[in-house]
Amino acid sequence: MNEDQDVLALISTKRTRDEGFKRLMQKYQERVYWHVRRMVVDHDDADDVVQNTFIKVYRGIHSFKGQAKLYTWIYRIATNESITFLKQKKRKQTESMERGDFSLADQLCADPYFDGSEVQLRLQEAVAALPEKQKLVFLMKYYDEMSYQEISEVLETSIGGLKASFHHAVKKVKKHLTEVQL
Amino acid sequence: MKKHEEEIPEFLEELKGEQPFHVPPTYFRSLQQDVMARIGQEDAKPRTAFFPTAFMAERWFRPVLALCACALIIAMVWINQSPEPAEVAINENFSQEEIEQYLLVYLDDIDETYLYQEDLSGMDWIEETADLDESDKIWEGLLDELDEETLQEIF
Repeated sequence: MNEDQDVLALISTKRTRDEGFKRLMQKYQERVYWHVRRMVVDHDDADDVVQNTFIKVYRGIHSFKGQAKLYTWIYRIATNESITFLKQKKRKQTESMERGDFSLADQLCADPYFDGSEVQLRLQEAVAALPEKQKLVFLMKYYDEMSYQEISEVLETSIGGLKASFHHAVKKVKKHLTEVQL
Repeated sequence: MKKHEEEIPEFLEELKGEQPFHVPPTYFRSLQQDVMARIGQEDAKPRTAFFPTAFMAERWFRPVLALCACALIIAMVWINQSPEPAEVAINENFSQEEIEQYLLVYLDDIDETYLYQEDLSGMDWIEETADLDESDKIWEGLLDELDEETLQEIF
C-alpha cells in the first residue's frame, strides 16, 4: 500500500480522520504553497488560498474516488482557488486603478518575503501579465517541472494545446525581459 | 535532464536557480494548526445548509432529490384534481340529516339552477321538487293562486 492510500484509509475512518488529514498536509503543503504563491505572488494572499484549498480538500476528500492521483486532485483544487482569488483581486484592482495603487513591481519591492534581483522582479512582472492559461502552464512547467501529461490531468486540456500555450508564454516572457533591457 | 525540461529556454534556465520568494520562518509548522483551527471554527458554527454536506457530496443524492421533487409535483397536481377540500369537509363532517336541515332553513338563498345541476339523488324531498316536469306544475299552481294585483306589484 503506498503512502497516499495509507492517508486515505486513515481519513476514511472518523476516529483517525484528523490524523490522516495532518499527514496529507505534511506531505503536500509545501508543494501546494509554492504553486499558489507563484500564482498569487503575495505571501498573505497565498496563505489564504492555501488554507481555503486544504479546507476544501478536507470537506471533499470523501468524494475523491481515486481516478486521478491524489496530488493531481489537490493541485486542481489549489489551481481553481488561485484563479478565483486572482479574478476577485483583479476586479478590486480595476476599481482601485483610478486611486493610483501600486504596480506589481512596487508591491514586490515592499514585500518583506521577496528579495529577488531586478531580473527576477521583471520575470514576475512578465509572468503576471500572461493570460491565465499561459500563466498556469508556464508556472507548472517552469517551476514545478511537471510533464505535459501531468499538466493536462490537472487542467483537463489536450497536450497539444498546452505545448502551444507554453510556447506563447515563453515568447512573451522573453519579449518582456528584452524590452526592459536586462 | 528530463525530457520535458529540454524545452525550457536557456535564459530561463539561468534564472531558475534563484528563489526570490520566502516565507515566515515557522509558517509550514503552523499551517496545519491554522487549517485545523479554521475547520473547527466552521464546524462549531450552526449549519445553514438544509442537507448535510456529506449527503450533498454523494453521487446518488442529487438524482434521488430530483426524483423526490418530481414525485412531489405529481402529488400536488393529483391533489388539485381531487374533490374540493370544502366539499370533502362537508361530506365528512355533516350527516345527511344535518345537510337537509340546513337546506330547509336556507332554501330561499340557494340558486334554483344549482339544484338542477347537482346530483341530489340521495335527497328524496328535493328530488321531488327539483324534477323539471314537477317544478313546472308547481310554478303553474303558484301563478294560478296569485291575483292580478300581486302580479302587477311583482312586475
